[in-house]
Amino acid sequence: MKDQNVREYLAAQRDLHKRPTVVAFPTLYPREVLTALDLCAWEVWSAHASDYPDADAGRLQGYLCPTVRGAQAFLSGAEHGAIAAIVPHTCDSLQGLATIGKHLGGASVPVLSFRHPRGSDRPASRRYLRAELESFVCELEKVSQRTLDPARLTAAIELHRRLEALVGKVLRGRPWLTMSDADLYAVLRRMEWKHPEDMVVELEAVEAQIDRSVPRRKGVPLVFSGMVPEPSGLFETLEDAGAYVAGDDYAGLGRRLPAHDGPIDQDPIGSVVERLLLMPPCPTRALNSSLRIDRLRALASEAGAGGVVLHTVKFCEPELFDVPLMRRGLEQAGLKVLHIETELEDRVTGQIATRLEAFVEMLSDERSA
Amino acid sequence: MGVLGKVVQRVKYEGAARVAPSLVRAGRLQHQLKSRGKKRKAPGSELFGPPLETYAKLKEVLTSHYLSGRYANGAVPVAWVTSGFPVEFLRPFGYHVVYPENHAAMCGVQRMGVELAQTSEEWGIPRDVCGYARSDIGSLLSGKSPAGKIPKPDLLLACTNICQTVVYWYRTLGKMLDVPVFVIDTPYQYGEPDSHAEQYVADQIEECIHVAARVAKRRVDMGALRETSKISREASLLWGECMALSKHKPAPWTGFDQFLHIGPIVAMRGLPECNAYYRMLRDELADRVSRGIGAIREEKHRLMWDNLPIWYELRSLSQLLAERGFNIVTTSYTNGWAETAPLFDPEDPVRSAARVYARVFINRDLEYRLGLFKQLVSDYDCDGALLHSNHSCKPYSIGQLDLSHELAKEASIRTLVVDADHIDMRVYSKEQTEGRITAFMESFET
Repeated sequence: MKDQNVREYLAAQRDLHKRPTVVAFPTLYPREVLTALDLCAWEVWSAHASDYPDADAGRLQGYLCPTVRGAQAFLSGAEHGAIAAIVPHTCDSLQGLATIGKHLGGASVPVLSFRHPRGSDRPASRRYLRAELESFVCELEKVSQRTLDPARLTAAIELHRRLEALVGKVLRGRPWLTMSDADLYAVLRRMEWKHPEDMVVELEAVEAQIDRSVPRRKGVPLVFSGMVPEPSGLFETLEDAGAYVAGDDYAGLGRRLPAHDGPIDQDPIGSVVERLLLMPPCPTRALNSSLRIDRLRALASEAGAGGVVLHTVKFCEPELFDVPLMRRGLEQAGLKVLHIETELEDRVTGQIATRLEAFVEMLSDERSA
Repeated sequence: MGVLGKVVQRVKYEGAARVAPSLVRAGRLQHQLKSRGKKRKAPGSELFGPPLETYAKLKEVLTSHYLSGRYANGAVPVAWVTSGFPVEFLRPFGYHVVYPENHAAMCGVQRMGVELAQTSEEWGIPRDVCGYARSDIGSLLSGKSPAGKIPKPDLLLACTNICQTVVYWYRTLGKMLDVPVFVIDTPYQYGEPDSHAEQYVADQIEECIHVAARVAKRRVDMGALRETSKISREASLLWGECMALSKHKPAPWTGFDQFLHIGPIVAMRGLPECNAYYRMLRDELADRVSRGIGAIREEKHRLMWDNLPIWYELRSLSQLLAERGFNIVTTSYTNGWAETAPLFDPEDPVRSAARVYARVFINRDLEYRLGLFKQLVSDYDCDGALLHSNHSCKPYSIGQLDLSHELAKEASIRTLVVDADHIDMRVYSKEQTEGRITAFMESFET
């Protein structure tokens, strides 16, 4: 069965640590709250509908993104063993998935929505997000039959901060890490299902391998921006071509690291709200594309990268709309841009491999010149 | 532009609105004189009742709106808004309002959608995104439009109650035009509407009113806002009355007529001209009902339509259906502009607008939508439904396969889902679709 190791881990969490599983779909939801309620989140970013042959087929049109089609197949089965599913209000398709799950029998478990605001810099957004978070907590308490303890939430926030700090250090320390991108992403993506305590241990081990006294790794550094770092073969292709991911702006990784830390409020719910509002700009929420351009420029500068790869999933409207403006804004800043589109395939297509190789070659020639 | 220039521009702007109806009437008269003595009927016209006389007025009203728009820059503040935006709050500030969606629909009817979409695709907008957006951005880039010159905005205003795509679209426009964007974010309603979401919407409407006032350099006048809310409410109620006349048999107009006559309620809501127009339309429809004049000569079966129209195939589809006595008597799309009208309270314009605009049917869950479909099918005595699975409109289309199945089961009617796109003809297979619709119609005879 697909994801066997994940299921075994989650089963152990449930049986040994009394941490039932809650499935979560892209992109943003308050992870700290699940940790505080002793629930194990299983983030499903790239389920493949074909992996669930018994799922309700034909419920969704072919022009919906593969993320949502795979999510629907995953959700309609019971093999995930979850007690509930969270479908954030990320885009129109996911909002539709949530209501299919809640109201038309499209899910085998209760579906909770989390409706984060579009635009985060208005007082109204903050007030609303707080109320939405409180409502979400109530729903989660009901399905899990647990009560959120503020002290446990504070502890959970501290734990997630520690984890995020480690992720940030690992991503920034990339030039001095000998691990391949494929291996690094395999580790980082374990955050999608492993408990934060276990991930802290894993990432501390990775961080320990960063040695800034040695020269930066060879290869062309690139910034990657997109929804999900798949297929993993992409990174093997990149490595073969002589490049590596030096800056990460993936929705599940680099884009989930809050911009800065403030003190944890006496009211930890308020702290969770602030953390959500401090997330880097994401096309699913941001009202101003300049913020995203500025972020990618900063990432490129920090990483010493001359190129940015915009990696979109087919039919993903929030990301696709931004491509022409991103391209122009980044090129104006002197960066080269490559846009690749994947469908969550298992393998890299020959076309994408060729384009990546050509892009790396061009950047490599520029560096040598 | 100096003070004198602005005054001149304002005169042109107001003048154009007054002159347009005369120009349209003159054009119509010229056409009548040219075709005098030539007995030539449009193909298929024997299938239909006499055309609505109000259609001529519709052309005058919309021409007036678009013609005055050519002189708006420099005369009045200009806002581009989404169709679900609480536009009544802009009226007291004298904004000329442009609806890119309405304009894109016109492009679709004129079959310009593909050309404009290709222009935006060359610029970099991917082909898989909303057809309205591609058409609109293509028109901006090329300057091509069936409406002549569209005024540039001073403000871009979007409301997410119709979709999240408007955020990405207007964000793009904001950058292209270097114009501020204000989004009223209306959280999707799962289940009963919740108070914190509606409070959020109300807060944003308040903020938006002040932003609009600042850009227009006018003061906020709550009395004027209450007045336009009243006008807007009446407009929606009048539109609802027009549609409700299709409950009679035979229906006095078709769903395709409704798609065309929806223009003023979308683009001119909050203006007295809009209400005057719908009173006229209502009266004509009521007259047809009293005299038993149907939209089609022989109405045998009544259908509900779901989703946006296939703009470039309105005539051919209406003919295909009429040939076998099928009439679209109600549509989820046109119903949307009357559905929440009763929630408007002119004495509490902001909070009631928050309710009205947050509870638009497309911002509500699929259980609600199924209930709405069943209600429409029952109220209009439909024996079938056509659901347009619209390639580039995800929020309207996701869940349709389930809805089609549930509606057929629960309302005991026949349903058919057809694949197309509201603007992009490249996605539409005419023969296949017409074949499927024909087979669907034939199934009623068995």
